[in-house]
Amino acid sequence: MRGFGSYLNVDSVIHRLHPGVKLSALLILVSAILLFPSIYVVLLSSALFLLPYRLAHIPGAHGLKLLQRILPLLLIVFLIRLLLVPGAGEALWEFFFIRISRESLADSLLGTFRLLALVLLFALFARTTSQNELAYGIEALSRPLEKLKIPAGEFSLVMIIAFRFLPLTSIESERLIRAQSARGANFDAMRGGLFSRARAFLPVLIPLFVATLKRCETMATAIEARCYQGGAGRSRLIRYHLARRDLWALLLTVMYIGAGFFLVLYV
Amino acid sequence: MRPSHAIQPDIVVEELSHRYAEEGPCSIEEVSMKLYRGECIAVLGGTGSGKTTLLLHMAGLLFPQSGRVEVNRRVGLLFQRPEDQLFKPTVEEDVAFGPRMQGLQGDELNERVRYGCRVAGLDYRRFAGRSIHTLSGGEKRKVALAGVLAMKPEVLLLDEPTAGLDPMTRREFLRMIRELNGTGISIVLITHHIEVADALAQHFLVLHRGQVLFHGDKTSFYDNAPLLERLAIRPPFVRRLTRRLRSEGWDFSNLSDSSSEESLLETIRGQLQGPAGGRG
Repeated sequence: MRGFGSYLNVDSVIHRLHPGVKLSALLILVSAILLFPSIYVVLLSSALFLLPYRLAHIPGAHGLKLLQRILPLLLIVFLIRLLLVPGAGEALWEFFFIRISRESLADSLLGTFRLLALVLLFALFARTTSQNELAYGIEALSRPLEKLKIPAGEFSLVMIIAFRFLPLTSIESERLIRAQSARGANFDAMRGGLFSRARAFLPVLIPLFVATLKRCETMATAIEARCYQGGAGRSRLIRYHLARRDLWALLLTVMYIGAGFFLVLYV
Repeated sequence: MRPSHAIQPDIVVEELSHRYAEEGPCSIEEVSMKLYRGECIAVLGGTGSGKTTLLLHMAGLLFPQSGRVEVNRRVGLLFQRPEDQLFKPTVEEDVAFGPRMQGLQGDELNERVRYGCRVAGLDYRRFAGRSIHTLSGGEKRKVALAGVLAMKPEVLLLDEPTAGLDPMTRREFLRMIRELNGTGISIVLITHHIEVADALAQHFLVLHRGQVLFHGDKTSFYDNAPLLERLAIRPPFVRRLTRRLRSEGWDFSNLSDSSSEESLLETIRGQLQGPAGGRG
């Protein structure tokens, strides 16, 4: 089965975690990374998040490739924050509007490592969670909302369909490029830079939008034709059950939050 | 008879191979063929035999991974599913897309659109403003053909042009293609229907799992009984009848068109009215 993002189809303890647990751990950890104002916590988190990579049997080459890809982005974020956000405290270096202080340096490092920690987290989640698991996780987490009359089942179906549409949209755009090329349109610019690629893609955009809408309609008919009604009483082919490893995962997440608070308050 | 080698072919394919996935099987493997001016070649073969891949190479939409494809005249490609080919909101805009890409504008462009519609059997006044999504399957196919013809191609690449058409529209489509071939347009035709291939093509190219099983004229194809059996192909009725009658002593050396019912009837009638009672 095709995964969401770059799903790695292997068996590991991380892969086997309950999707709802995985998703809640992700949400808790992301919030913590964004809220803890300590560079030590964020640095430690980046290092800690590499541990589950090993547990998930993700090859080292994958991690290195990921780092290689995001390094330019991290550098840009660091430089923008350092040069454009004036820091408080005594200036270490000043030039026109640029003012670098110990605080601004620390802030820039915090922002950059925050981004690194988030990327590591999301990449881990994407590599260990398939499309269906993600949809199941969303449904599991949003189920309590049904008490408030919010349709969690429908929401998760929308998510599944949205993920399925990603490859479909890509196939559809390929079809349109082929159809237009066959009648003389030139897509050489597609091999150029970002701007020329975007411009070359413009003639494909509107028909792609129309075709996607049409496909949505067909899919809705197909789903209805097979008796989809949604709501209560919907059963599942694959059911996930909470296991001891899930409790451990939640416990570790809570321990991480506790340790984070400790570091923020006392270090 | 094929033209002499002194004449430059419209399309030359030499030892062409292509695989879609690096580790995957060859979609086509060392395929070679030539298409001469005014010829119609039918490409036959089961699903997944590489027919469409071959056609996409001829149309320049796929580049050879190994081997060579030489295209010497302007080609127009009719896709297998017209839905894959039509992308503009109205018939007029869609038919105009190709000629517009060729740099035509104003009256000249308008004339081309009308020409495309006329040759494809579409009433321009009725269809020009119609939304593509409101057309029937047969109408979509005609619009797709009009869009290709509006570019005045010299070689037509047709990927199963009659698939999914009702018998009447199919017959109309076949007549149209035959007329286009008659005006000197060379044709490569992919089809699963032996009747369609028989009615239009002079030469057959048979692919099986990406490899050429047969490449030659129609008569030698029908004479190759083991091949027909392997492909589970039954020659069209007129051909089967001619063969049977020939085996019973009838002389069909004067048969002008061996795939035409009228031609066969005329020959039989001529022989029955002949001095020896018709039997050769």
